[in-house]
Amino acid sequence: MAGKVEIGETSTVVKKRPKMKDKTKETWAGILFVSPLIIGTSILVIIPIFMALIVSFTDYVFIRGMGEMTFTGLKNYTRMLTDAQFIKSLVNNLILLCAIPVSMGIALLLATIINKYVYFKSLFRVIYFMPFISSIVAIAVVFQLLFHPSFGPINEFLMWLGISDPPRWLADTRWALATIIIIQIWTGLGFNLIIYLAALQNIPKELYEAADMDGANFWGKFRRITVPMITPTSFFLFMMGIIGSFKSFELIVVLTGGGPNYATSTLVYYIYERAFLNLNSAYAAALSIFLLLFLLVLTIINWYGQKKWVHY
Amino acid sequence: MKKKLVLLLLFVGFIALLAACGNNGASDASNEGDSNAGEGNKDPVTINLHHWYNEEQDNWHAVIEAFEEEHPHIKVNTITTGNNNSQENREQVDITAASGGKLDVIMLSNEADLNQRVAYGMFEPLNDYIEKVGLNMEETFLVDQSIDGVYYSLPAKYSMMFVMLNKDALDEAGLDIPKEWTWDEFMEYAAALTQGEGSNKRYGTYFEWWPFYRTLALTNHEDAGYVKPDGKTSNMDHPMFRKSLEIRERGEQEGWATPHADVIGAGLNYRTEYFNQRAAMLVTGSFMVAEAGGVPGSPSEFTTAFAPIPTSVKGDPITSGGGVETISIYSGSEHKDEAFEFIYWYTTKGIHLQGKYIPATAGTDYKDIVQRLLEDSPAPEKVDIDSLVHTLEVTNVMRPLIVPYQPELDSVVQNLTDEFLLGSEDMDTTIEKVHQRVQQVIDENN
Repeated sequence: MAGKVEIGETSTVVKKRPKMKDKTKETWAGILFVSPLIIGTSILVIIPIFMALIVSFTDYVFIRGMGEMTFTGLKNYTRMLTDAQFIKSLVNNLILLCAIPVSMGIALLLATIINKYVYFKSLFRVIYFMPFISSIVAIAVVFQLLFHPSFGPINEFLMWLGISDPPRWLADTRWALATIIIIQIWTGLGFNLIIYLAALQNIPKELYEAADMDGANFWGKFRRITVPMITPTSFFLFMMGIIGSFKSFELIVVLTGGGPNYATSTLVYYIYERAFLNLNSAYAAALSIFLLLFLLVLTIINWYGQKKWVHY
Repeated sequence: MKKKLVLLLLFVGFIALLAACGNNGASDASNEGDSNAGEGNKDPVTINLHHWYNEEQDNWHAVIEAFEEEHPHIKVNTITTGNNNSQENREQVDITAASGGKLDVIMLSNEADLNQRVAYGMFEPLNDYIEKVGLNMEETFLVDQSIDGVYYSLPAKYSMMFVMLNKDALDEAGLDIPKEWTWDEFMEYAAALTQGEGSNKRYGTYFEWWPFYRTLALTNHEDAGYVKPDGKTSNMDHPMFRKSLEIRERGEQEGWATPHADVIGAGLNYRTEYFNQRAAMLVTGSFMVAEAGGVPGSPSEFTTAFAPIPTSVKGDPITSGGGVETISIYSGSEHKDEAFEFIYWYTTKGIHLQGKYIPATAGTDYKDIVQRLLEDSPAPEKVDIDSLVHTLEVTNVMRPLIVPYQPELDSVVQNLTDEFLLGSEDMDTTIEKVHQRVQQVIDENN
């Protein structure tokens, strides 16, 4: 009873109030709808970025608290210029970027084959997708065994082929990064493959039929129809690849810890080492601001570059 | 309007949730304190203890219970990563400190970690507290952890370096258990104990990837650190650093040590290599004593004997840079007196009661502690107790200079010697490079 009365009362109150203009109402509703995201991103992303920016000009150490930091100007940034480990990590990151087109190329090749020329399509899809959903740690352990410098199956095979001094893979300053790239291509292949398969199936058959009528061969069709038709997908995968390669961290922590002699250290790993092992929080903040700007520049280049080669 | 109100409430709730996330740890702890309150006359104070041990296995419950019984006005709330991973604990402590969480008593696994944090004012100086209770540090403890005359910690679990030997392999090769020895003799032993070929090869010894194993021969010297005692000059031109690299080089070339490439390339681990008999000797620390007979479920298949850490010159005193764990009070703790009561009680009484670690107190009965350490061992008969007790008794602790930026130096030594150990750089260049880089890091930090 009491409840009913209350409801009645409230509704009369509502009726009495002057109606808000439809437009204001919509604006408010809109703001309310996006507010969780805006608040979430500001608290978790935007504010921390600004904090990092401020901190990068100080000598802040995160276990000491904000109260005791002093401004040191550009010292953290000038330090980067002479920091050999930082430069090495950056170069490693750039090398890792080169692996993305390779990975995409292999994925496209496999996707074309699986799409048209094999039976049990879905089985192959699952097989190639497995590495992508497996735990990085498990993958790392398996590859450690495969790449064992003395008794690993890969090196035994190479020695059987007659190579007397095969690379020592992860324990080799010249090969460690290549090994990481191989593992990364292998794990990322499934994702690229699935996306490419979907894209291939969306290409209208008529185009190929028309090309057949004109007497185009396989290579011609692939170059003139398939590749241009899937450029939006390639662009998407390329962007994802760049993001993924700058985030590469777990594999490196588990496999090499950035070693031997920083051969596999990447920017993110180096930031971690500086921030949490050496407790140089301010320097680490400066490094991450550099990473942010670097990624921004890369994205801008990509964004303008795509107009030249992506066909929608 | 009502819908809007609901939305607004949701919105406020969302923010409150976000805010609450940050404080979870702290509020949990204080709640626990409240619910326990009211038993005594005065409300007991709750202090947090951060460590990384498994509480069931290592008898922590009994320790805390005994302490709370003796000190009814204090409750101890233990927060452990529980996985014996001291690095994880260290990171958790750092982050708790950075986010303003409640920290009181903190354990760290070594002095380098302590020193690094003391430099940023993380720990409370203990001199006044020590004076107040009349604790004689020199007489009570085997090690001195003071930094420039100020104590920031009491020494807890004591670890010295020693050598574990596969006694079955020794008998086979007709070798005695060494009572004292030099690195040259160590290398002869290693060569004699190497057996087999290919994947079944048993190496004489195994060196883990840790930086420690690149400065082995330095451990017996007064000026053993990376930095000379003046705190300003690199010590890496020390002849014993060269000697250490020579030991490693011979190990690689003569084939009596597991190749470094295998160690880092295949991610080998010293425990499995030793207990699976792929290496007959292991330079390691006394933290391995409890496991010497194997771990529950996989008893050791052979007898393990012990020898002190080798010296570089015959007859030199046997000294080991001990990795003595530290127990300290957070400088922002609200209950420092109670926290000190706990660390004082724990380092002098609790750790003995616990019977799981070798205490750092003077006058410890090693025979007794060793027997208690082996209580849970699946095969205590596989541990040669006489040589173990002898080793523990003859080894003295030596304390090299540790600087706050130790982890950075560790990383320099590790990375630059990797090139040498993998054979891509010769010894002179390596020593030169390490010496230079260490000096550079020292200059950057001074």
